[in-house]
Amino acid sequence: MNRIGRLQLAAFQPVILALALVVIMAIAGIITPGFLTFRHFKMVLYCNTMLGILALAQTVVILSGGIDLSIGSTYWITIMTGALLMVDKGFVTGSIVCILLGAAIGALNGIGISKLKIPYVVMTLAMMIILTGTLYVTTGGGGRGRAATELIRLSSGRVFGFPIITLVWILLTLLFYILLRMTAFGWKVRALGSNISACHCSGINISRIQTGVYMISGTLAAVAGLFYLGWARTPYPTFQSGAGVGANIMLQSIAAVIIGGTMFSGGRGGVGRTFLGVLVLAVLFSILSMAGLGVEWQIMLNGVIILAIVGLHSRVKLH
Amino acid sequence: MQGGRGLFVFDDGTFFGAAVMNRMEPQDKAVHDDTADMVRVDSIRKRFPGVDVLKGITFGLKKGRIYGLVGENGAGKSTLVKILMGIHQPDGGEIFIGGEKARIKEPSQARYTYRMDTVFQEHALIPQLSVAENIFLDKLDRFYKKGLIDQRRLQDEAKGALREVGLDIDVTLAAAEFGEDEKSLIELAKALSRKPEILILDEMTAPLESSVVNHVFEVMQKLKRQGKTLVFISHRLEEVFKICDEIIVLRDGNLEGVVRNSFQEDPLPLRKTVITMMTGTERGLSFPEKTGLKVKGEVVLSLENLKSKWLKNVSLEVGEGEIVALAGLRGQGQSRLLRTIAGLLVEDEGDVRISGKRLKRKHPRDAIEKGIFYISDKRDQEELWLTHDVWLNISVTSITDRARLGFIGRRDDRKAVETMVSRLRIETPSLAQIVRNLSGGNRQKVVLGKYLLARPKILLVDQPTMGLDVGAKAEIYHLLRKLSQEGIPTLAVLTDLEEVVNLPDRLLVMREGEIVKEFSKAVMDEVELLDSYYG
Amino acid sequence: MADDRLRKFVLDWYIYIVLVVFWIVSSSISPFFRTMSTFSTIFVSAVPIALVGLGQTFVVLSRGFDLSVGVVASLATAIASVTMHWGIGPSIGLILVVSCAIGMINGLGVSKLGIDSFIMTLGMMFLLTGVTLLIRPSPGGFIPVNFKRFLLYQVGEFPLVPVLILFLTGCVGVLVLQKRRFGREIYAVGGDPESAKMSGVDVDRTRIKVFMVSALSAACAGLFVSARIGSGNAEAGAPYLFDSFTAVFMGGTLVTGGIGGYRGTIASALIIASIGHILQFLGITIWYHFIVKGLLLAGVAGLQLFVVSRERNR
Repeated sequence: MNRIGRLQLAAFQPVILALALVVIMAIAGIITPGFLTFRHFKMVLYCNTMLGILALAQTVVILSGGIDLSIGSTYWITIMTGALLMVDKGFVTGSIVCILLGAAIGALNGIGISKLKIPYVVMTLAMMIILTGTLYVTTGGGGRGRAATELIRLSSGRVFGFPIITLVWILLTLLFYILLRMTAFGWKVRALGSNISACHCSGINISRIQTGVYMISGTLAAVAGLFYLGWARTPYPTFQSGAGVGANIMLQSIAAVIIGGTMFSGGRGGVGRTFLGVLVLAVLFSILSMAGLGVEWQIMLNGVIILAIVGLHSRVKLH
Repeated sequence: MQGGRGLFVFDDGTFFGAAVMNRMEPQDKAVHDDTADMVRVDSIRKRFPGVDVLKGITFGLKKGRIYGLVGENGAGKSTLVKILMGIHQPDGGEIFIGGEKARIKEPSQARYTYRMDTVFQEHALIPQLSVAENIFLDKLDRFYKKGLIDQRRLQDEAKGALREVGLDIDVTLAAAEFGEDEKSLIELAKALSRKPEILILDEMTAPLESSVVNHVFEVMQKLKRQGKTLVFISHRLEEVFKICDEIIVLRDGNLEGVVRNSFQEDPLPLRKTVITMMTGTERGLSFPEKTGLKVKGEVVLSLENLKSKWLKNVSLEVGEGEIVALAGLRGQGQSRLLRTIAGLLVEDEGDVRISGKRLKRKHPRDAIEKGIFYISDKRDQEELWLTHDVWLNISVTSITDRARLGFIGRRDDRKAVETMVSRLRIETPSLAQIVRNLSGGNRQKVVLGKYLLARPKILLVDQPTMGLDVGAKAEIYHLLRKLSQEGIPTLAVLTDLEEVVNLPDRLLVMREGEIVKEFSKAVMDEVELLDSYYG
Repeated sequence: MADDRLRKFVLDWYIYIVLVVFWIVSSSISPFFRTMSTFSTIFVSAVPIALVGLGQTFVVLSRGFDLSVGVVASLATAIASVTMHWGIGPSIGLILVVSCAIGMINGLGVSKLGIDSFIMTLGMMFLLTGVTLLIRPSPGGFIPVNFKRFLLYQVGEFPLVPVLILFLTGCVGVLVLQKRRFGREIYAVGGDPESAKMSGVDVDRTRIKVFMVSALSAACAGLFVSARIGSGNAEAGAPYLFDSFTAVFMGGTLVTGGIGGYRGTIASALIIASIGHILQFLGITIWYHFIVKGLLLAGVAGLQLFVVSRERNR
């Protein structure tokens, strides 16, 4: 495997992706008038804000060499908890509790992985299963609780015509861009994803970074959850019998990261790329639904794109 | 034999250069000669991104001879072997085995079609599988009885294969249970079990003790008498001169020449000739003066009665002006001692003091915070972030020192790293160069740069010049000496005898987890030193 | 010496000890658990888990992940539900061929294209989910009664055929991994792929075979499930994805590959199958079993690592 070549190609991926995006949008614009309007674009971004925030969180985790399989269930448990709490306790308390909950779940993930040395796949998988169970048990199916009016206003509110939550997503992306490139923490995260033994030998505090990364993930999932709650008002989680709540959006968050070009090992990549990845997914889905194709096609497309991207990254070994 | 450069050498060390040597045409050799070449390599070229590793190598190997293949690091020895084994494909040239043109695409082809095998220094054993399974890993179906592997037969044959190399171990144990020296022999047994006609030993003797090496030599002699062709690659010239009939010298991707060995009593002239050919100049390694002998300075590190699962009772002191070496046979606890001091191996009792203050190490961070920096011999696995650039590799360990409120001022940081890069003369096109693309010597310098930037109080280095060529070695020696003169001592594990004798101010010979002898001389006698290894 | 043997025994068989203890404790807590009918259902429920667990064990041992097993099982039910009216034989044949192809594609992507198995099978999973939904947008279809009766054949209360399937799967899994060249090569590839390659193991071919086994066993699981539910269902296989990982990790196979085996997986399958029932009998809603499963997974996996690291330091 010519890894040198792989790394160099990966460097160009955002450019290729951006170009592909422009081409796709151009074609779509020709076929469907109204596609290339700013209004449509805003709507596409708005619909995918939640996915965007989750993908952002997942990027940080993947850069550190891990993965958060529980992000989808953290997202949903925040939604349900928020809905239940906000009925009595109102917006502020509800939000704070939810965000703390997200951080706490992340912290638990982080501790399990760093102190108890449970492999991240197992830990986040187990967490996802536990959270799913907790969700079923405590809420039994949704349709309970309601978002606070302030939250509803937030999720549908606009600033200079631009949806607030989408702005938040973009701001968060910028924030993490800076964090990952200009702070010691950010670089240590990338070092961790590249070679954990070297970090250990060099005295980097691996526990702190891992816990931090998963707490970031949990907290962002909670934020995304709150935004969703404000939009849906009363939640009806999609129970995929046994597969775990939120599995779908979790997998999509990973897909967006991959499509964006952040690699699973090596600590290379970044949030800007993931943003592009989400855009590509969003535009493609938008095209599909306008063409009248159902969910199945979207899901299939997810798969095809992932395979295509990674296939391009690789070099065929000829024998 | 002919060389690309035109050097043709006689056995007692006299040589003359010829401006041009005609290359003998392949057919001349093949037709009349009843001692035709078993292996013939013709104008082999290999290029890796940015560097021509082999620039047209031509030579032939006959049956029933042992050839030495020597050259500095980067001369192309490993690449040549890998091409023969089908791991790399040449960019030009041909290979002939037994007179026939050979296209070797993968190791199994080399092994089974051409009956050529190599024992590498880097063993290829699967840690969790048993020794028996490892030996016959690619032919396990040979042992099927009623469709399932017959363990009994597998183990018996494995034991037989190991007997050939003089190893008597429990073949049902996992390969991970054995030491590097035993693993080397297992690899040899593995190769021999396939009954090769051509056997290459690539730095295989590195982890072995002299008694074991002698046994390996006996095996090689036996094979030679059976008419096999052997190639022996080693950095240890004494070994090469002891056993090789002819010595092929590579330099910078070219065949510098071939020297016939007449096995004289005094190997010095031969050695001088070969080294000259290897390096292009007449020099051995150059060592800086042992300034720490006179000016020991204040004690920086002191150990008192350090005991652990692997260490018996270690007490030592390192002064700020010293380079102290841990010597002795391999695996006697030297690396473990360093790792224990560094906090990588915990669970020990005893006193470790840094500048007089006691230090408890539960984690490498505890040692690093106090300025005790350990540099592992496993550079790629434990010291470098290969997927990242030079900047990150040098900067990240100490990045918090230069950060303000967690933010790094990129410009200041880059300057600091740049200064380090030029100080150490790291050859890299830019700070953004991915470390994976750097050569071994430069990687080692990056590791040193990483720790120097973090302002150490003492360096604990495990084999600082392992795998480096002569030039890089000299630079490291001078660097360590300069550091000691600035008050930063080094405690190093050294294995190369020449290094042990010439570099450190003081030598601590270790055996079985404790220090058995201490030497502190300006001129060290190699014989006396080796003697103390064995006790 | 005896001490060492005891230690080795416990390390190898701990999951069975857990299983037996679990059953004993459950039986003493609840009289309903003690019945043959309960155990019968447990064995039947365990079959698909054991089957996907077989494939997943092979994959994880070779240092990979197969995220497509759930959807392959669903796909099998979908195809069965629309083709079995032609004939059971051809239908099964088609399913096996399709799953072989899927496995081969997965294997080729991972080995020849060097794609990370997580990503490759993730993409495949998405792809196949869409395909399955197209074939079977809503549950239904036709599964012949004979087929059902055969696979679920009982002698009295005892589920003969399911237990037979479990037994055969267990034998195949354990024997192939321990005593066939293919199995040992899987350990080699998972333990140290570079060394395996150098030692002459065809790493690519081994990986391809491993993913083919995984897809095939997932398809078999799907066939069994289709018999159980009597129809095709695009979501039928979904729970088995995570159950397969739970069974593999609980069973002692390390996520890093190279260590473990099928022996533990099959016992874990039984444990997982049992959990739902005991909780049901305790009057706890069935959804709690998620939590228990999750805790069990984390707990056992953590314990496993703890023990392994202790062993390594001896």
